[in-house]
Amino acid sequence: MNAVQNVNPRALQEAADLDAKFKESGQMAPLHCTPILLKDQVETDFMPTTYGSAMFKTFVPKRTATVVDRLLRAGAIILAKTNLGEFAAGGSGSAFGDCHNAYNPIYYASGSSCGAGVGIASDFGAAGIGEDTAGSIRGPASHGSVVGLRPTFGLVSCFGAMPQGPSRDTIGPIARTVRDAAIVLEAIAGYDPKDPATAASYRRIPESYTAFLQPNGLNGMRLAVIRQPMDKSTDTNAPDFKEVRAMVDRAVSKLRARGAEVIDPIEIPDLLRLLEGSGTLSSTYEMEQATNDYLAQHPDAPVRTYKAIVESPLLVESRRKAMSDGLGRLPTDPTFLLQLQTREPLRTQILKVMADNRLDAFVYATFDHVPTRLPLATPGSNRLLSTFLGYPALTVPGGYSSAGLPLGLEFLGLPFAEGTLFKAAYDFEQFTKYRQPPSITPALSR
Amino acid sequence: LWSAVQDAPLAIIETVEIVQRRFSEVDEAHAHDEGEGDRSLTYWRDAHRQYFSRRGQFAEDMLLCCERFRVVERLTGSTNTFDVVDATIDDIHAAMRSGALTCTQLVQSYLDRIAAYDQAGPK
Repeated sequence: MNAVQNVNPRALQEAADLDAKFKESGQMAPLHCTPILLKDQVETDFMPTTYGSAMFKTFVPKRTATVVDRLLRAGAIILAKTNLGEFAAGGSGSAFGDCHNAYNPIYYASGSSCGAGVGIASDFGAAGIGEDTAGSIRGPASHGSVVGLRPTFGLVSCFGAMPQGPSRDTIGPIARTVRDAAIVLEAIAGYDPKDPATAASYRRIPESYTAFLQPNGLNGMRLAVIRQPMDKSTDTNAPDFKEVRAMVDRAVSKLRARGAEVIDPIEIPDLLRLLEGSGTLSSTYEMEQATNDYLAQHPDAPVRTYKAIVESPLLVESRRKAMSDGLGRLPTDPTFLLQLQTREPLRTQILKVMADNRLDAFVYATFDHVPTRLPLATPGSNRLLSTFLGYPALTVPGGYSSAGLPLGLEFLGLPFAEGTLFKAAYDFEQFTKYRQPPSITPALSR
Repeated sequence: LWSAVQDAPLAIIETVEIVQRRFSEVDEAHAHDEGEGDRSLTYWRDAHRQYFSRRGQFAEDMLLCCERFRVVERLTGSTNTFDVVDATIDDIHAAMRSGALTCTQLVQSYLDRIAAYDQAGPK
C-alpha cells in the first residue's frame, strides 16, 4: 500500500499512559485513545516531518501544528505519519514513492493526502488528518470508500502545515464514518491566533457537530444535483463516465427515498468558465512566496528556499513541471489577481442558485471517472469548485465501479454549514451502507 | 464455522438450505446475501469468474452448491476479541468501557496491520 511513512515510536507508551489514566479516572476525552494517521505535511516536534520529500527525510521541526496539539489534548494518539504527493500535490513523493489503492494496489489512490486515505481505507488507524488545497482530502477519501471533509476556509487552523496555496489551504478529517469525521472536526475546529484566517470562524461554530447526526436527517432537505462536468478532462462519452452517472442516479433515488427534495439536474450558468477563471489545480502564483515564508520559520530546515527545492535532483519527476511553473511567480501577478477576482462572481452564482431554489446543499460525483491504473491520475475531478468558493465539501462512499473500485459522492454547502452536510451524509450513509472494507486486507488472526 | 487463519472456532451455524445452481443461474439475491464487493450480481460474477478461472474450472454452466445458513451463536473465547476492521471511535470507546479492549491492545492491533499489509501486503 505504501501508506505509512513513519510510525510514532512513542505510540505504545502513550497508549499505556492513557490506559493508566482511564483506569484511575474512569473518564474518556472525546478522542480518548483514537490512533490518528497524520498527513506528513503537518509538523510534529517528536517525529520527522518530510512533506513526502527525500530532502526532508530526517527533518524534525522544533514546533508542533495546532491541529496536532488539539488532537492530543482531546486524548488522541498520533500513530503514524503518512505518505503524500511530494509537497502536497499528486500521489507520489521522493521520500517514500507511490501510494497504492486500498482496493487494488495497481490502481491510483488519488492525492495528495494519499497515505491517510489508503491507511484509513485499510484500517491502519482510527481516523486520519489530511490537507486539501485543490481536492487532496476528498480525492484519497473517494478512492478509498471513506469519508473526507474539506472544511470551510478558516474553520481549522493551518498553523504548522507547509502551505501550498494559502488562499485555498485547509486541514480536515478523513474517517470511515460520517460520525467519526464529525467527532474529529469537533476537536480541531476553531479560532487559533497563530492562524489569523481562522478568525472567520468566530461565533460561527455550532456547539456540537455530532448533534446534527439524526436518523431522518434527509427528510425535507432540499438538494440539487450538478451534472455539468467541472473539469475539461471529463469525457462524457467514456464507458466509465456512464458508470459514474449510474452511481449518481442511484444516489439520487436513495436521497429521494429518504425524503429529500432533489432537483436533478440543476443548471449553474457559466460554471465551467467561472471555474477556469478562478485558477487551476496547481497554486502556481502562491507556492514560491508561501514556501519561502514558511521555510524562514524553520532556520534548521535542510533546504532553505523554494528555488532550491525545485532545482534539487531529489524532487520527484511528476512534480517538477508544476513546481517549476511557479518559480519567479508572485501573488501580486495580475493573472492571479484576476483569478481571485473571478472567485467572487463564482460565489455569487452559487449562492444565487441556492437562494433561488431554497437549497441546503449541492450533490455531485467527486470524480466523473473511475479510479485509473497507476501511474495515471484519475481524470474528471469535480473537487475544485469548493476550493475556489472556500465553502465546505464532504465526500462519502457512493458505491463501487464494475471493477470493484470505490466511487465518491460529494455534498457542498454554505460557509460554516458543516453540520448540514453531516446531517445529509449521515442519513445517506446509514441508509446505503456502501462502504465495505477491502477484501485484500482482512482481519488478522488474534 | 472454523477460522483457518486463527485456527479457532468462530461461530455455530445452522444450514438452512443447499441448492444446486448453474453459475449462470445465480441471481441478485444470492449475490447480495453473500455480501462481497458492492453486493451486485455484476461484482459476484466477475469475482467468481476470476476465482474459478484461476483454478482452471470455470464454465458458464458449471454446477455450484449454494448454501444458505444462519448464525446460531458467535464464539468469542479469546482474550482480545475486538476486531479493528472498520471499528468506529464509538465502538472503540464502548469496548474499552466494557473492559474488552485496552488502548495498548488497540494500538498494537493497528501496528500489526501496518506491519502485515503496508509494505508486506498485496501488490
